[in-house]
Amino acid sequence: MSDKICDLVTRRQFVTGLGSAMLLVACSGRTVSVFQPDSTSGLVDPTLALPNGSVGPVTDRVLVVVEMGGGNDGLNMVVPHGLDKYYDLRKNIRVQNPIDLDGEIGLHPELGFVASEYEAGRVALLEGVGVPEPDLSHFVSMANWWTGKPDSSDGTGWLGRYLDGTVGYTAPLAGIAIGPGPSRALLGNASYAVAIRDETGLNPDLPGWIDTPDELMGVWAGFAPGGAERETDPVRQAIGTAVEARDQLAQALDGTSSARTRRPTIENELLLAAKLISSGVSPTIIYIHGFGDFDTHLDQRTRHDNLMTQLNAALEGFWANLGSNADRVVILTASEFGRRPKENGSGTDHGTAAPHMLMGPAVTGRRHGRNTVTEFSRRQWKPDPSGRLSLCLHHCPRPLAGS
Amino acid sequence: VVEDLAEIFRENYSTMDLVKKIAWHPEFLGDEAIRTKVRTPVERLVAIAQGFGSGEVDQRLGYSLHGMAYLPFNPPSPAGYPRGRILLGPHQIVHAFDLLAVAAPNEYTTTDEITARIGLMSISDSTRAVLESATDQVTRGALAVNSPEFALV
Repeated sequence: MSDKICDLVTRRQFVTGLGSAMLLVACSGRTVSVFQPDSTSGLVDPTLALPNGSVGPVTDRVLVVVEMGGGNDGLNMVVPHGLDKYYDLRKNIRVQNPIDLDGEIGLHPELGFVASEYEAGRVALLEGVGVPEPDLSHFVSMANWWTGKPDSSDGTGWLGRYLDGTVGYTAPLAGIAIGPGPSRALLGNASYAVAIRDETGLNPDLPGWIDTPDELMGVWAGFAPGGAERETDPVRQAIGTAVEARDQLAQALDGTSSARTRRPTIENELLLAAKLISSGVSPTIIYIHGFGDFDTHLDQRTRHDNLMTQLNAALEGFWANLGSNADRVVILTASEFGRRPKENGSGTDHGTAAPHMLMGPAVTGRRHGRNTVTEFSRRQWKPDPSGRLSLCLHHCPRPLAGS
Repeated sequence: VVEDLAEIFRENYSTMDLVKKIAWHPEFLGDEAIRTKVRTPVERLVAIAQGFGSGEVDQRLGYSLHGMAYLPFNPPSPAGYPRGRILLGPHQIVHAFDLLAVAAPNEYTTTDEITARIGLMSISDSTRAVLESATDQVTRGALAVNSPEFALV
């Protein structure tokens, strides 16, 4: 893709351009058209994308975002093993024997499945992903990722605004968060998103004096009868929507109450995501968060190795469970920031840019974005200054998708 | 509204006059301003605790409030807490039942007793019908604090 295209994405567009269906993730000088043909970027196989010019609120395509909370160490996930500087800066926590991809970079040795998918052309490595003015606070950096609008205080999320502009209040299961609660990324001004923690779906954690939620929720549904009263009352509409979403999830997941005791691991969450995608729920976006701790200040070798092991196994299980649905799914990894190239004792401190992955049969697998491997300094990676990474689910503005 | 208020403020830059103007403004005091604000999870929790008394606070409350992005003194993002219709999302209103961990509404039996305890002076016929259909007072209390009327202040 020409750098001219990236240059068209100004900071102003970064801040204001998200009200449309264009969803912008972070900086990397790349426009990524996930669900629309984009021959310029080469990131997506056009035969698997929507017909040219299509703009539709609902397709059967699914974006799964995997949020690696805490700040994933990208340098030990996508390892610049061809660079002496990497070994100079990391004497204790360097990754030994990475899986070589091209003589310059390699993947963490626990990412065997990811490496095989890369070789098969189904993994896009996006390098140098960061934000224009990095902030090393988890709080602020997560907000930047969630909102896509660092200077804004409206609090809506980049995926929520997408739902606002497409399904609105009509399809609460178009956006589903899997984790401890709703993700801020799914927060919209004119749409709902559902959050579930496990296969039990959308149910309250009732105190011990009410045994099962079914009877209570059945009576509660009486607050949202059909007719004029519901039509004119947004609260009754909301109750009706919640009841319907709960019922649909219950049918799709066939959950058991014991599921609630399971641990929130990436493997469990991705299996749940696969189940949702294969069910009749038809989500457009699934946002997975609240698993693992990627904030590896201490004992990074052991902890990050374990996280990579879990991530690899989870991804393998996810794609295996999707079966024929795999063609319509793309996974995007996210994390509030990377970690500093220079180790600090047994771990690393908060950093700036980092590599991320797009994964799926519709992705053109190779390295994308400017090669920033050679540009990291002792303290920080330098985010790619040439532009930004935009993720277009359905409809990219002409300047981004053209030329 | 802002121009209205600004005009008063510009006269002598008196904060007292400005506050009076706000407090008496139709947008603040009029009928149309009543029951338009969506009750936050913390406001729900306080009203439940006030209405039904409180035993020991269940530790799950913190987890529930966190899941609803309303843990006190810990907003989910620099933009602060969610507000408005966002608070009526499926997760938010289904998990509003979790807040009953602060008190079991088992001492009050009739619909009128229960609604009075939580400050609902009037409810619609359809809401009353739902509450009356509950088979026990615990369920009735739980439904009352998740009724359409209770969702707004």
